Amino acid sequence: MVRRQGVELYLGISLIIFLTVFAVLSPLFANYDPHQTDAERWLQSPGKEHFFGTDRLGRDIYSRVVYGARVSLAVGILAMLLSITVGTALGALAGYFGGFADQLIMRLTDIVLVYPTMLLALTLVAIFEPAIWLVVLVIGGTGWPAVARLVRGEIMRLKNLEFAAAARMLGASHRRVLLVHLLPNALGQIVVAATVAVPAAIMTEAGLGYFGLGIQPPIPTWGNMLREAQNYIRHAWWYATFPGAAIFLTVFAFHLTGEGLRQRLDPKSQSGRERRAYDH
Amino acid sequence: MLTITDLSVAFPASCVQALSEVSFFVAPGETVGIVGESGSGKSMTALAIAGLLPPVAKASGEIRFWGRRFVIGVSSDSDWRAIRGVELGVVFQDPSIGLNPLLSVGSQVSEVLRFHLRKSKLEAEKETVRLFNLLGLYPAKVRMRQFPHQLSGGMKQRVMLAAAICCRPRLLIADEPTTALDVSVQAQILCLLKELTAAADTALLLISHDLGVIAQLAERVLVLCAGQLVEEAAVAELFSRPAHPYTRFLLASVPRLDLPLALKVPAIEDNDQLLSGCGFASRCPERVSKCLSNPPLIRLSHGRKVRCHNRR
Amino acid sequence: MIRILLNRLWQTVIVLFGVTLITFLIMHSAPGHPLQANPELRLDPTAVERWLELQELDGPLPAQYLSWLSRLFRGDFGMSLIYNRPVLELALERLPATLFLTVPAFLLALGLAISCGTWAALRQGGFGDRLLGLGSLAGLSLPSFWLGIILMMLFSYGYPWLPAAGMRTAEDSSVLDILIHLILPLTMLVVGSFSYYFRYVRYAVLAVLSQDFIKIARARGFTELYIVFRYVLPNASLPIVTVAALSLPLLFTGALVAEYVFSWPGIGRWIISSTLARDYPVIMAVNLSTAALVALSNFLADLLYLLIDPRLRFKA
Repeated sequence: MVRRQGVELYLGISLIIFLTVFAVLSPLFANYDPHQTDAERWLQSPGKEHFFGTDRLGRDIYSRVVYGARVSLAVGILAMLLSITVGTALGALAGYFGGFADQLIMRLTDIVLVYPTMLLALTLVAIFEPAIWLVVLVIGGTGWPAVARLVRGEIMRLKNLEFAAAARMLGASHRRVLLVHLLPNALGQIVVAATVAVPAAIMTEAGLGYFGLGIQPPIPTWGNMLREAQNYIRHAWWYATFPGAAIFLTVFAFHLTGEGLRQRLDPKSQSGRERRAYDH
Repeated sequence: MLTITDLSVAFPASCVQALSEVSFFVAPGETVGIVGESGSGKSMTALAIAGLLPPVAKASGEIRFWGRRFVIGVSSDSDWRAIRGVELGVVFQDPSIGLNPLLSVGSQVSEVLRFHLRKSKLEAEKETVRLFNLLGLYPAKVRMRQFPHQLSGGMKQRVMLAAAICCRPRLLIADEPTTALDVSVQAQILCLLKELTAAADTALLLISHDLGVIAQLAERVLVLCAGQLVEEAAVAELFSRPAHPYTRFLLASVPRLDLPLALKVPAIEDNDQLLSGCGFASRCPERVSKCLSNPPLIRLSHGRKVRCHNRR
Repeated sequence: MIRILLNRLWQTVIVLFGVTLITFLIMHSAPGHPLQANPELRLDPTAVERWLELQELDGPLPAQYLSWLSRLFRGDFGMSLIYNRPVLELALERLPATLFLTVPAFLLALGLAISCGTWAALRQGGFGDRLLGLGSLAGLSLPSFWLGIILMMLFSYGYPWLPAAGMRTAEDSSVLDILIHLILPLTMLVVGSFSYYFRYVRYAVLAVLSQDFIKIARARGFTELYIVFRYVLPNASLPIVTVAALSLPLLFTGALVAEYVFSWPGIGRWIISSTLARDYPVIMAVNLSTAALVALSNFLADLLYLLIDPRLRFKA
């Protein structure tokens, strides 16, 4: 049996690199100014000049999709960094020290976890003014509990292994054991969590945009483009199709990467049965 | 009763030849032991007889069991299902992970009776009580209602034994049945194995790396080394006059009070499981150049075989 | 066993209490007067005035919180600022439509996921397994609102087979008519939830299949089907129950979006329009009750654990 491990990983990472290049170098790839309206050419179907057609104001959809990648990736990555940092810190503290700290942190995670993320995000953004920093804060602020639970579990498992006890016995401080011995071993799990946090954030951002509560026009985002397109789906199939496809592709790329990483980290999901059977 | 011909098992993905052309037989009611180090292919033999080789294994060979014929790789899972549990019982090494944690231990024995012998719930439970009493699981009625996590390792192994023999199989395969247990419990389980198989005239294929266990129970012994059958002998002969250097090495590895621990044990090397040549060649103190070609299995006397160029 | 239960109950109470506190704080950190904040929206000025008066009557923030809490206990969720009617009444009117969409979606997605996930795990690495694995990953990556729009473009406008909006054609429509209206929103909900559950089920079943007791059950001569139903699924059901309970917020969000896209007259659409209009009593009530619902379903999942797993019921 040929091991096909890693196809997902390579495909996912290549896609992410490809999308990042588009986002960073948007001006090079976009053949039109994403804000430039053209009263003559509204709702034109895709063709040689406008690859993805034009929108209701005659703006080039392809160029807007390219620029939209900036917002999506920026929000996705910033929100991920926030939730990973908070989640790792709280999860590690809860898992390592246990007791009251653990109880406190876990109840806090429970409270945030029971809220539907999208509803909470909608509420917060509706109450305050929608702005990019608020969107990041809200998505990151609702995404950390999953990470915290994961890291807590990993740390609890690791701290009971002998090497942690050995390190304590050799006189290492709690801080050193946690930072030098335990967290690096949980790093794999944290990286997987990070690759799952990015697409979740991108999806929530797009959803907020779709409901009109994300980053506001005229900045083109995939979510607010879909919102505009919604009223034209009878007449212009390309209007909603391409921004949505961009969301799908980006989210899919991260999910593929996450899946690939998970397979690497956990051989059980790949060739586990063979391995186990031969152990005996 | 059980005849195995040219059993070979390989794992192409990891380039391992687990068994190569192993042939042997077990007579009705006989107790045959299989010894060898870990990785010598003992457990694979057990799995192959039960038709439970992992799907990634590439295997060939023929097994005849009480008039039935199984060709490995050809016979389907449902062919094997006809003997598993009914005519062939299997007990594995670690009883702590061998029982379904969600079912009471009594129901895990009685479900075998109900499944194979079509007994009613009441009948099956009655029979289970009898078996539990027979196997020393007292008080049977209370033990039956308990769940695996409430029992000790030795008790769990008794439950496993009960499930394996409840349909009165003709052959019981015990794969390292005592390895995971405390020493004090080991002896009890071995005694039970001996009594049960003797009483029901069940043949026993006992697989162990522990020569002590083999010596206590087996009548005839097969020695496996790197997937090859290297020696076969009656138990007394094997211990008094081992013919293969590997057997001598195994016997010398047993720590003894009356002798100093003189023998340096060569560890298994990476090139140990070469596809050709004697499996023990790389570690053999008596190796000659011929050993790089595979020696044939030679019959020395009645029921006595050895696979070595350099036999004395 | 009783101790575990009490402990979980206590934790649920703490979580519920925290949820009320956070909901309250979020609402009261909102800047500005609700009417000034969105003049173009459809709030009823008299309702807003009454709401603000009620707050003033209650006094400082902690007192407001306590009186809000006590009203909640009496089942008084306040009055909607748009409709000037009790929130509870408005919610109950819309609940049946939402349940009619979400309950079948939940059951269908979970049922499909359990059967497909088990099937795929039993054929791990095979073609079907790979296809389903990749498909579920793609399903997970589909933005649900986009999927809804695409479905609508294909089946309501491209090939006008299915209605694009609403729950019934006329007030007195038949059940069949409602079912036809249900197809597209249901599909949209099921695709996402199925993909999510499928991955967990497959993983849970694989974890059980690698256990020794499965090999031993095979050695006892049970048929594959018997093993699946008596050994694999009961053991895999523990993580599946967890995920099903934890996924309720996801299902709720999905329903929100589906109702919005397909103009389904349920709670979701009402919530979105209330949120956009800053109908505070509605937002508070909805946030609170969904969070409470999820917390309770997690508690229910714990009860189910005790039922399934004897290791939790009896100490060794």
